[in-house]
Amino acid sequence: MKPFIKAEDLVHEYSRRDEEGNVIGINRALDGINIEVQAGDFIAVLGANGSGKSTFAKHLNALLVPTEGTLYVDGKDTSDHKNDLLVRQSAGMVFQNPDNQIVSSVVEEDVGFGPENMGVPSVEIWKRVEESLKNTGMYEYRKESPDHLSGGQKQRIAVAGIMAMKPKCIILDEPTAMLDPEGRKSVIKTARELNKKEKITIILITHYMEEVTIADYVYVMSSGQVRMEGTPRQVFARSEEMAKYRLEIPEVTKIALELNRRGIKIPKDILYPEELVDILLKIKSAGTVV
Amino acid sequence: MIRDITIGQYYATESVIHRLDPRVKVAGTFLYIISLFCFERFSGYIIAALFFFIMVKLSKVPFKFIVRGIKPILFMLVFTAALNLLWTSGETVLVRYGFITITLEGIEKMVFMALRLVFLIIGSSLMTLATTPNQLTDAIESLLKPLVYIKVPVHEVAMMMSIALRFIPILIEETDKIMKAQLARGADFESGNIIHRIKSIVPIIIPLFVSAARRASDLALAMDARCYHGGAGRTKMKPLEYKRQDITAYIIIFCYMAVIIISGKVLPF
Amino acid sequence: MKNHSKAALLLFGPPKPAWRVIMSIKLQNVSYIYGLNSGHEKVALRDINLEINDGGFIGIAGHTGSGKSTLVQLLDGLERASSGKIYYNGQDIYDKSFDMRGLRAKVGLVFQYPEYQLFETTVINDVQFGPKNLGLPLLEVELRSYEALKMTGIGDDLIDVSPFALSGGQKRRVAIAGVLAMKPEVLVLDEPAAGLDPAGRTEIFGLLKKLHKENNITVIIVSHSMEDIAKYVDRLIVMNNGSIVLDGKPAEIFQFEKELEKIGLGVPQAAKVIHQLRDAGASITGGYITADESAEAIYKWLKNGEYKR
Repeated sequence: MKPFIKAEDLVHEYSRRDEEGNVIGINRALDGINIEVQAGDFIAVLGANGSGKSTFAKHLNALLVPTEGTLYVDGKDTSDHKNDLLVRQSAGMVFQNPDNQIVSSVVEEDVGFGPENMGVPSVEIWKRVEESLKNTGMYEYRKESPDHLSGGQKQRIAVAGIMAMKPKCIILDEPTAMLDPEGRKSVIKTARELNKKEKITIILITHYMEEVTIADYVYVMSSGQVRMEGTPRQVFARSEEMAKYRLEIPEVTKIALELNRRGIKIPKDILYPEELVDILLKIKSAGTVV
Repeated sequence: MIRDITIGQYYATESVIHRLDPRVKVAGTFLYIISLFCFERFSGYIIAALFFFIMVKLSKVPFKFIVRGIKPILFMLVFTAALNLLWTSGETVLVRYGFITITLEGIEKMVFMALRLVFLIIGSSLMTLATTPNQLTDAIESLLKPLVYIKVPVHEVAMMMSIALRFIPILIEETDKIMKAQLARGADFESGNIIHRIKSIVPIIIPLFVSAARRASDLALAMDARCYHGGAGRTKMKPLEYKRQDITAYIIIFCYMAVIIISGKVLPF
Repeated sequence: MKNHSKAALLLFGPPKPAWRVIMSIKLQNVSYIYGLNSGHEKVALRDINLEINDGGFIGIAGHTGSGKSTLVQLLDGLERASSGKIYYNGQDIYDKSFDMRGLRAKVGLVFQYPEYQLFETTVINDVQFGPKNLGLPLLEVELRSYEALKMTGIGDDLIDVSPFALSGGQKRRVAIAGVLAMKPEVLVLDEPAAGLDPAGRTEIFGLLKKLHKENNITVIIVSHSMEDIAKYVDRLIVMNNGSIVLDGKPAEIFQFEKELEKIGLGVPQAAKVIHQLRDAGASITGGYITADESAEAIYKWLKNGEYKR
């Protein structure tokens, strides 16, 4: 199968300029990224602040174009500006700040903004707005002003606004960084449901480890390069490397590692409390630890 | 005080007025404002007030909300009232003290002008309270369409207005937050002479400006990401179409105008 | 220092040393209602009774809208309670003669995303804003500012740089230094780690811990992620719907996993594991907060603890 996203030796350079506009240096924000994403996958991109993960996200939406290398999204070369609208339509993007991406003062009008720009007929826009608000669980708020909603609800409005464009993929660029635990959960749950039910490809960019456990595949970025990749279990089992890239592993995984350090032989790639408890109860009742 | 500004704020509810085509509301408000300048006697205000109260009732916007719109202009109101009071010459002198002369005509003029200003403000705040900013800009865009022929970027202007309106409450809240943060650092915005006070605003204005710039660049990116590329080829979720109720509304407004103009000639007071 | 008469000494004991003021905050039946008389009143705080004493490292947790941010603004006199009394070091802060600006120097409030308040041309100028407002002599202002920057780990190479040219984490440190330069007795921070990456979060909490230990500052952290602050604080106050619902040591608080989750708060995964093991019949004690503690408790249980099915 042809991959939905294919990045080949993707490089992005920002030039730093002095006050007169002369280039005084070049920052390599992305330094040879090779990533392939299949349609329908749930991918997580982990990285500390300044690792280049947001720059990468902007490339997926053709908001930035490669300095070197190529990036194909849904078979279209993003460096060709003629493809901009097509790329943005098939891979929509949700940003970090909930307030700074909502255009309208009424929820439903905001969700309709994308389809309006695409020239979708009004009757069809209404249908899409209704459908995507229902999909994100925000239908009852359609007449409200976004100012009266919580951060998590605003992010779900933003997701609905992208869904109304009927994309194949949604890129979420640190969607939960400014939310409280409840809001974080609701946004991640929404993304997961869209992935499962609507078969939307999800690319979740984050530095919260708990959000990554549900991903099919994880990329860890640091200083513009992909440093680690694998399933969440494979990645989290390598805790020292994660710390090197200013990241953490989930607390349960840490407990499992600590137990191993104390001589208790249990798997090191545990992701959920339930899982660890199961294993512990088994070895206790089997009496294998004395 | 900045929290009291109701112009530009929307009051969400279902009502006949809310359902009207925004063009009717914009044109109607415009006509209403003109009507305030069409009479010279107090009887006009009775009709204008009556009409206004019926509209408020129909809109289901609580009266409190509308009255609050006057608060921020209170200073302007008092100032113009004082000017009218002192600068109107008349025959029936009530008080004469030094260079101050207060006449009966002066009082009349003052009340008359103050009422005009009040109705002007509350009339336009009713429109914004009962019309979403987007509808409002749609209406303005549509009413100003003819200007496209003289190269006025009508769509862009309308879009800018709509975004400005969306971000007004956010920036007001932000101002409040920055003010508190600087107060917590011992800032003093209330005492000192005028120069000191102007200086004391700097710690608010700069963070606010930086934040507004950041929000603007974020929003531009988010709009790009949602395929925004100007007005060309754009459709509308809520296209403006006149319905029967809008025609009725136009007729009512014209009737009102007629009553105002005729009453000014017929009524004795 | 003032001269104390013999009689005063007899009555009140020796004067407290000037370098160590005994700070205390007391709230008595404090309520706060938003938009009073506007038609849509909202109770943000109801009947709060709270005492915060010197030397603590305290966490106030609660989800958005629980009233925690309003509470800290009351402590700083930025908002005024609708009813009830607040005492700072025994003085009623609503007393007419009370020096409110003086209070704001003693209670250093650091807002969420404090880096957004930076406005000066250089880092050092920005940090000087607070002490200058206190009307201190220039030398003292400079001394305090350099000291505060040093305390937050901002190097000498950055003091003359524009604050807008710094990285996110550095900006936040400068903003905190701006409050520290006022020499507060208690430092109150609203979501100090918001928006930082895991290492950044650890660094900022580490910095606060250091300030608490080395500079004897009482620290109050307000956050909605109490699993993040549990490791650092010695007292946790949990708020919900304008009231204080739990108040105690973190390990005590996390006993109430179900209740906490009901009000939108999380518990550390360590506490979850321990609870689930206990529910299955394991007799484990402790191990609620950190992975290390938890592993130790589990290890002990595996080695010799009971387990009844």
